[in-house]
Amino acid sequence: MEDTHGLDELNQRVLQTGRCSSCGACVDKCPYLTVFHGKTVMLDRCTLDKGRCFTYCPQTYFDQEAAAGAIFGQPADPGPIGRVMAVKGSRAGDPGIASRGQGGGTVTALLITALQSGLIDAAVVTSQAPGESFSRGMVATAIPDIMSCCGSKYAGSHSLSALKVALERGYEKIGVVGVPCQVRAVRKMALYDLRNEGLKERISLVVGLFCNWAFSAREFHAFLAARFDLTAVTRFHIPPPPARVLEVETSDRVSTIPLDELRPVFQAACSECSDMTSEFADVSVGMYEGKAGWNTLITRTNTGRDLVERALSARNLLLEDFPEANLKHLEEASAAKKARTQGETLSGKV
Amino acid sequence: MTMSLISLDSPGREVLLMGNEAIARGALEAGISVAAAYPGNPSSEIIGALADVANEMGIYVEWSVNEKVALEVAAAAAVSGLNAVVAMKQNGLNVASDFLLNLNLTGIRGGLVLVVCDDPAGISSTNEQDSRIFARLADLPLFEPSSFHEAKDIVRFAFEVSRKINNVCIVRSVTRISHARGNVALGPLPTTRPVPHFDTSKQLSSLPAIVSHPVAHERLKQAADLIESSPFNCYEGPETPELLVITCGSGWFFAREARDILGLGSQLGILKIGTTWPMPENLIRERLAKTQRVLILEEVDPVLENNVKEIFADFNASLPQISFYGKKSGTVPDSGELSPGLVLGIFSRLTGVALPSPEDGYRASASAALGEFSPMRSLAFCPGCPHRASFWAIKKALALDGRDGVLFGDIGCYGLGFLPTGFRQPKTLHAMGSGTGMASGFGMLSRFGATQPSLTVCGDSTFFHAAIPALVNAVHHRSDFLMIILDNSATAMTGFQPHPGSPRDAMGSEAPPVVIEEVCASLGVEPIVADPFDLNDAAATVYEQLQRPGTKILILRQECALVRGRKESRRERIRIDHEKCIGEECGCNRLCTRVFRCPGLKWNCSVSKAEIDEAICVGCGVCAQICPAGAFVKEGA
Repeated sequence: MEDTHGLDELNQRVLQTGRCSSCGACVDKCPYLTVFHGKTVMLDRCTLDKGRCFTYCPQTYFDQEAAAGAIFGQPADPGPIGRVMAVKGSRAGDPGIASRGQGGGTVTALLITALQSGLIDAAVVTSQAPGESFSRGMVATAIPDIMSCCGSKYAGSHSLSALKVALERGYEKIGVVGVPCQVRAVRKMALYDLRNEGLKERISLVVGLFCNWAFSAREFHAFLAARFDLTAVTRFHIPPPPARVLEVETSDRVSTIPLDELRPVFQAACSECSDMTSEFADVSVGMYEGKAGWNTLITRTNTGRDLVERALSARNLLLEDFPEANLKHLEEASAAKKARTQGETLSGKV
Repeated sequence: MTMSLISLDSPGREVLLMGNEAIARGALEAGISVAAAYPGNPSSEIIGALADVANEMGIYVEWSVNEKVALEVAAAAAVSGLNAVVAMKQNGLNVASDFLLNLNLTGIRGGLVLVVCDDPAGISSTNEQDSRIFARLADLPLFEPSSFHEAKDIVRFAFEVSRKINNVCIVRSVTRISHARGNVALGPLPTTRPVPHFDTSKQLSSLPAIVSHPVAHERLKQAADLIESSPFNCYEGPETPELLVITCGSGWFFAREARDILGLGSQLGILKIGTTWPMPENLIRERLAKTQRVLILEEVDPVLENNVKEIFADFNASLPQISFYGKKSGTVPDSGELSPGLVLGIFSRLTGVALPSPEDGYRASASAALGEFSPMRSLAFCPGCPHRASFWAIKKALALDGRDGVLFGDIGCYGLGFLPTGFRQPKTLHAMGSGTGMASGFGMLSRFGATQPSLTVCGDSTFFHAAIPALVNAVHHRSDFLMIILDNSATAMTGFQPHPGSPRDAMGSEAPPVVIEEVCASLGVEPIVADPFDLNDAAATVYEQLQRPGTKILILRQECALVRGRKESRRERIRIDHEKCIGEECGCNRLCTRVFRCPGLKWNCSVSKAEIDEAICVGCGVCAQICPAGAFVKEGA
C-alpha cells in the first residue's frame, strides 16, 4: 500500500484543508479525533506514522484497482457510473415504507430484507432523532430502528463512527449504508484492516447512495437555525432538477430555499469528489428523475444481486425497467461530476 | 509540628538554620512586633517561620493579600514606633514599589526592614531581576548577607540603621542564601516591645516632593556614615593583591572556595561588601589604591560593578590605573547564578593558575550516583493535581470550539500549564493578575474583527492578589471573555500559605473566609462552579461558557492534591489491566503517558504497557476517564 500515514498527515492534508467529508471513518477510534457539532475535531497530536485515520480516509489514497479486484473480481470500470450488473427502477413493496422513505423507500426495503434473511445481523445507518441538531451514525438491528432512519439527511453525518460500535458489539455480518465517500472508506477498511478486525468478512453488505454534494453540518445547522425552529423540522427534500431548491418540511408547512443561497454551506470536500453513484457499493440507490415515489437501483456485485433477488421474492421490493433515456441522463450527470473534478480524489491526489 | 529553633532564648548557642530562618531570627532579635508578606519563592519561609512562633513570641504575623498591602501593613506599625519586617520575592517588590517610592519620602518613626529575595536564573520565578536597583531608585540603604549567620546579624543591623535614619532599609537575599542551611549563633531576644503610638501632631506626607526628596537624600547620607565601619564589609588577603575580587552576597562563598582550591591566598584578595548601597566609599577607595586588577563578582546585574567604577571615577586622580573585570568585560555572565565551578574558571583565566583535574572517572561516578536518586522527569504538575485535569478540559473545549481561542496565563502552580504538563494551553505568562487584565483587553478587540474567544486562568490566591481590579475593569467595560478560576484552595506554589479565602490566618486563628463566588456576584457576574476531575463535564462547561457573550466566570474547584494528601489517604487504588491496555497501537498511542503525562503513570518499555507508580499515585481517578481502552481499574482505596 502506498502513501500510508498517520494523524499528523491527515490533519495537514484533509482536516486543515477543508477536504474532510464528515464520513466518520476516522473518528472515535482513538482519543485524538472526535465529532462535535458536525465537525471532525482533532483533540491532540498522535504522532504514529501509520494509522487507521489516514488509511481509511476516503479523501486520501484510494487504490481503485485493488478495491475493484476485491469487490468485483474484475478491473474497475472506467464508465461514468462504474461497474454495473443491472439498473432498474425500484420502490418498496410496502406502500407505508415507500411513502416514508426518500423516493421509493428502496434502501429501507433492502435493509429490512437483509436483516430478515440473515444476510446481515446489524446495519450502520444514519439517524436524526427528533430534537437532535445533527444526524449521526446508528447501529440498527431491528426493523423499527431501520424505519426510524428513513429519509435523506443531506448533511455530512460522520455515520461511519457507528461501524466501530457495531464491531465492538461483536456483529459478524454488518451492512453499511453510505454516500460515495463512505463507501470508499468502508472498502478501504476491508482492504487494509490495520488492526486485524476481520473487516473484509464482517462488512457483509454495502448499500451506496447517489450523492452530488452534501451540506457542511455545522454551517448548515447555523443557516437553518437562523431561519427555522429546528425542533419543528420534520424532513428535508431536494427535488430533482430543474427545481434547484431545498424543501424544508415543518409541522405546518413546506418552505423552499434556493440551492444557490445554500452554496456557502456545501462541504468543500464534495467539490473534489468524482463519484456520484457510489461506484464501489454492492448496490447503489438514488432518485429516479421524473418519477416521484421511485428510486434508481444499480446492482453491482453478486452480493447486491442476491439481496435484490431476496427482496423481490419477499415482496419487499418492486422493480421495473429503467428507461434508456434515464440511464443516459444518469450517465451524463455522473460524467459531468467527474469532469468537474477531473477524477481528483478517486485517483488519490490528496 | 517540630519545635522552632528561631524562637530559642539561648544567646550564644549555635543552631542550624536555613537562610530565611536566620533572617526571621534576626528580625526577632531586633524586636519586631509585626511581620507581613505575600508568599513567593525564595522568600516564603521568612514569614512562614515567624508565623510558626507568632503566638509564642507575641508578635503579629500575616499573609497579606499582596506585597503592596504587606508593606503598607508593616509600615503602619513602623510609623507608630514599632519594628516591622516585610518579605517578598523580586516580583513582589515590583508590586510594592508604588508605595515604597512614596514611603521613602515620608520616612517612618520606628524600624522597617524590607527583605527581598531575588531568584537569579529564575529557578522558581517567571523573571530574573536584580532588585538592588530599587535601593538606588528609592534612596534607601541596601544590605546583602553573604552567609547564614550574617543573614541574621545583617537584618538586626538593618533595623538599627532604619531606626536611626527614620527610613526603610532593604535587605537583599538570593536563593543560595535563603534556601541553604548553615550554623547561626543566636543573639539575645528582646524582653519588651514599645506600645504603638501614632504622633498625630505631625503629618506623614511626601508633599511637596521638592522638599521630601532632599530629606530622603539626607537620610541616606546618615546611613552612609553608619555603614562605613560595619563588620559586614571586610577584606581578606595580601596587602597589595595581584587581583582584587570585590564581591557580595553568595559570590563571597564561591570566591573563597575557588581561592582555596586554586591556592591563590598570596596573590588574590577578597573584599566583601555587605552594605551595597550606599557604598562604603572610603573602604573601597583604600583597597582600589593597592591593586591594578579588579574583578567584581556578583549575580544578575552589574550593580556593585557600576558603583565601584563610579567611586573609581570620582577618585581617579588619587588611584592607580586599574583594569576592571566583571559583567561589562564579559568575564562574569550577565545573568543567572554564580557557582563554584564558574568562579573557579574565572579565577583560573585571570590568574593563569590551572584548574585541578578531577579524579579519574569522578564525573561518571557522580552522575551515576545522582541518577539513582533523580528519575528523568520534566517540570510537571504533581500526581493527581487538579490543574492537569483543568487544562485537559480547557484543551478539549478549545478544540471543540474551533475558533482558535486564546488562553491568557497567570502566576501560580498553573503557570506550569505553559509546559507539556498543562498541554501548553496558556499562551502568555507575565505577572500576578495579568492574565485577567490581558484577557479582558483581548475581549475588547472584536470591534476590530477579532474572532478568537478570550480566556484566562487565575488561581484562587492570585484572584485576591491582583485579579480583582482587572475583573472590575472588565465588567465595567463589558469585556467579552471567560475567566476560569482554578481554585485549589491553597497558595500551593509557595507552600500552602493561607489567603483571604482560607478559614484560618497565618497564626492559625480562625478567620472569616472571603468567598470568591460572592466577590464575583457582587460585581454582577454570577460564577459557574464545576469539578475539573469530571473531565467531560468540565470541558462541556468551558465550551458552553465560551459560547456566551460578556464577562463570564467559571470556578474549577478541586483541592490541591498535596493539601488533600496531608489530610487523608489515597482516594482510590488504580490498577492497569494489561490485557486491555493497547499501548502504542493505533487507537491509543500512549495517550496516558505521552499526552496526559501524570507522573503517577509509567510506561513499561519492556512490555509496552502503561503502569501505575504506586508510590506516588494519589488515586484521583482522572486517568481512568481518558483511557480509550478502559484499561484503568479503580479498586477502592
